[in-house]
Amino acid sequence: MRNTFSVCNYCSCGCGLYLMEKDGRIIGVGPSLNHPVSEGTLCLKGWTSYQYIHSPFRLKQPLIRKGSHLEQASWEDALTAAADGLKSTIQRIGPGAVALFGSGKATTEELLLLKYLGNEALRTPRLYLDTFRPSLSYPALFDGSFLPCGSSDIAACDLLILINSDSKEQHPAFSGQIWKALDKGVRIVSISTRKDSLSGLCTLHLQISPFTESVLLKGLIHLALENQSRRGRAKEGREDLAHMVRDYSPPQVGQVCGVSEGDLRLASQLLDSARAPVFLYPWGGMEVERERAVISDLKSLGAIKGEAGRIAILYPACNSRSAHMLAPESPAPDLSSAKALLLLGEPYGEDREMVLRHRDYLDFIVALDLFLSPTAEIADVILPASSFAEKEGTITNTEGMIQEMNPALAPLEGTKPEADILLQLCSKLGVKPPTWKEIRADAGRLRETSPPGTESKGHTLEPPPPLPDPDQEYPFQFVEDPLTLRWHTDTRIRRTPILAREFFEDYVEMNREDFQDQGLREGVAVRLVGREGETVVKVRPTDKLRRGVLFSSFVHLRGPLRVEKI
Amino acid sequence: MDREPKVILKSRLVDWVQELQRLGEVIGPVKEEKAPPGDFVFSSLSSPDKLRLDYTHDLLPLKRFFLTPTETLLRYRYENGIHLEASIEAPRRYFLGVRSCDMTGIRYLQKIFSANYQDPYVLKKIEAATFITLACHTPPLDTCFCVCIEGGPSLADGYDLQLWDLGDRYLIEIGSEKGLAALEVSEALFQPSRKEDFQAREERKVLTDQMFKIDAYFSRSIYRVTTGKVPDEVWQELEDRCLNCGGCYYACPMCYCFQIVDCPFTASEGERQRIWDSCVHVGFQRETSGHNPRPRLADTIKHRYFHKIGYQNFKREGRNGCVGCGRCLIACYSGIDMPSVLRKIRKGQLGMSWRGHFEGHPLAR
Repeated sequence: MRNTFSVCNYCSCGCGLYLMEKDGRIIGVGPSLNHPVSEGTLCLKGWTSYQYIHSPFRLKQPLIRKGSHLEQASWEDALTAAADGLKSTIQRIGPGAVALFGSGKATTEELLLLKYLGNEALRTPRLYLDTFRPSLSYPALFDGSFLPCGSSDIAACDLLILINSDSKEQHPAFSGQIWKALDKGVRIVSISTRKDSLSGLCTLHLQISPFTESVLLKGLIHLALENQSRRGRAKEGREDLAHMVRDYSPPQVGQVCGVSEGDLRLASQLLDSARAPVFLYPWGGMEVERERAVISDLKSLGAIKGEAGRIAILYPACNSRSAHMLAPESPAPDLSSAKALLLLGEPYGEDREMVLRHRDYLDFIVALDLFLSPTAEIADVILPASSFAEKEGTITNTEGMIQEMNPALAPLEGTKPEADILLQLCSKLGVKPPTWKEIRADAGRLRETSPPGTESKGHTLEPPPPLPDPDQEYPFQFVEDPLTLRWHTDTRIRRTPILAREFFEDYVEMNREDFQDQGLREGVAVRLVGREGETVVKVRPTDKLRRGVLFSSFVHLRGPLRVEKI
Repeated sequence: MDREPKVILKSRLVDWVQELQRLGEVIGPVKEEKAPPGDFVFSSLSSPDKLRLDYTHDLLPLKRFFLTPTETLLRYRYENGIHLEASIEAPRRYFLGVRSCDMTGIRYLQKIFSANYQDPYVLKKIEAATFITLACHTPPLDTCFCVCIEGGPSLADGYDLQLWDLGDRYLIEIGSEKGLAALEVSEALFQPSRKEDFQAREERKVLTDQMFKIDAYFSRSIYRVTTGKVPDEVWQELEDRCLNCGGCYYACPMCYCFQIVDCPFTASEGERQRIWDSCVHVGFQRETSGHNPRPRLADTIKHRYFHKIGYQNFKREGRNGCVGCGRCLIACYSGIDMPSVLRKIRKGQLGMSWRGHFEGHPLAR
């Protein structure tokens, strides 16, 4: 048995792990005692991350679409078909018709190569590197005007403010730090729509109405400024800020958010007395405008606390941070005039929904994927890629730590590492590709370009967008947030036996009283109808939600919903 | 060669390993390439000097070599009927530098897997292995509590050979014929032991027992669990903390839950595998109908600890399901580990502090 040290490639924590190899197969995974992030822990996804590597569903041969079905092809034919398809789209319509999606699940080297392919070979402006990430919703956040925060800061803080952070489900290594802080007696204020297991244990849990995070935070800014001016410590330059939050008085905020004025004032007092507060906000799957508003609020709150206030924005995928550094000005994806796509790593979140929505308007899709995922299924050329255990590359975790992925295996027969595929595509498109050594060197240089920042600049507040309006017809607010087993699509999770068993059905959570009022029965599916779409899914009653709220990480619907019995 | 303890100079250890490598695979603690400093894992020795007997702890227990995380049980093929083919691998292997707790765990597994049904996949591997253990004369980590539960720091039996670090030399106790055979590969390397060696060993034994930092209140907890005196709220509190990662199982030398999965390569060919599983996962007991006798994490956690410290199981299996290796203290995100759960059970009280109850707790840093 041989052990290879490597990095987990699910979420952005970046835990260290050992891959156990025997007779050319990965048979297990072990944690690393001294790894700075994981310190000997692994979450369920980490422990089982080897189980999909030898899944019988892995793609082992390139596929080319012939009419309505996919046919097996040789690598040479498939690469030629991919290059020809992209080239002919450009010749017919122009370079703008090709869009490249690089997901945060890909390594830095792969993203660099995709960028090279887009800039040099295809000359398309549509390069979308992991666009569904916080930086997109507020690029200025990363202009050096906030204090970055890592897991060690959580251990050292005296107040933790969690905004919609179910880190137990989303970033387990950070969750470990939060539990440690809790056990040390650090005060925790949790602001969320859905209760989690921490809610009952933290100092204060504010269960807010859906999508009112920004309103509540503006209420806190209002109170913080009020406190400062009462003490005669109002700083210059804050008049604008005070003006912007003048309408967010505690009674109004309390009413909109559905929290009591007393709780709001208590939260403000806790923040006021904290010497080193940390704000923790993970990518929450909210609309871009809403996320932008929350992040601008956090920036202002952090600035009010001065040097001490730290903000941890947790990235979604294992390498989202590199994707951001490679394309900080990445625009919001727009597929309205796109005719051809190249998908590197499986897109997730809103990117994935967008690709699936536009499938009928696209002429040609090339997908590099491990499995026949929903986005690979619709492709015209599918190129089987290698898993994280079969290739080398670097990934950057949410704290900015650059780590090496080390191969424990040669690429499985019939698959190629994405970097190889992209290099060959470059050649097919008639561009001399960079050498692997150059790409590695570029990836290494990324460290120097990451923007460290300590200075607080001016700040503006973004207004929160209007709240979705439930009515008689659609009475339920719907909140979508990723749970651990649906993290970045379920493609790998469904092919991991233990995980597939743990999440065996899709469901929506509903308040227990609503559940009874609707006359529903457990285990019986219902139809959820929204203004834009509908779906059939099982409903589970829960005490975690307020009345009138539905929660799921399995259903992709927007806006208010109604529930119909079938 | 007689079965009196022998002595080998540390400088000659490499020669012995070389001799053993002629006979079979030698597996011991090594520092892997590119791994964080301080990490050690049991791995096949590519060369004898890779062996690091000054290691701290391998976070994964030795059970992984016998109850492997993934084990192919049989291959199947449909071709004019069904053809089954099972191959049980049991290469000769020497495990060098095994901690006492891990050794105790292996002997426990041996008992479990031969209780009702002889599981050849596990048993043959254990039978083909020679265990050369290393008695601890300081607890390797602050999380160790083997002294509370007869898991170490040294062994009275169960080993093939037991090494005692005596400065410039190792005292070697011989526990079995297999152990003796491992010495006979090169008798010239070993000298007879002297009176001073035994004296040094006894001194170390006494000193070591006083160096542990964690208390685990087993006896009281066994009584309370067995007589139903643990309030349900305790388990609910554990559920609230648990991340359902399975780490406490995967890192435990005494846990042996598994899952059987069929893995088809093609429509007519494939294999049946056994993979590690944990009874803490809520899906573990879900039945085909969808009914789940233990539908909540509180139930599964309770079940796990009942199995580990209930008296019925103590009687049936001859010991508690814990060796005090302390891995659960490291593997858990939220401080659910044997000592903390026992403290909860003993007091039956809620809301008490979980960690920081003793100085130097690695998780309280």
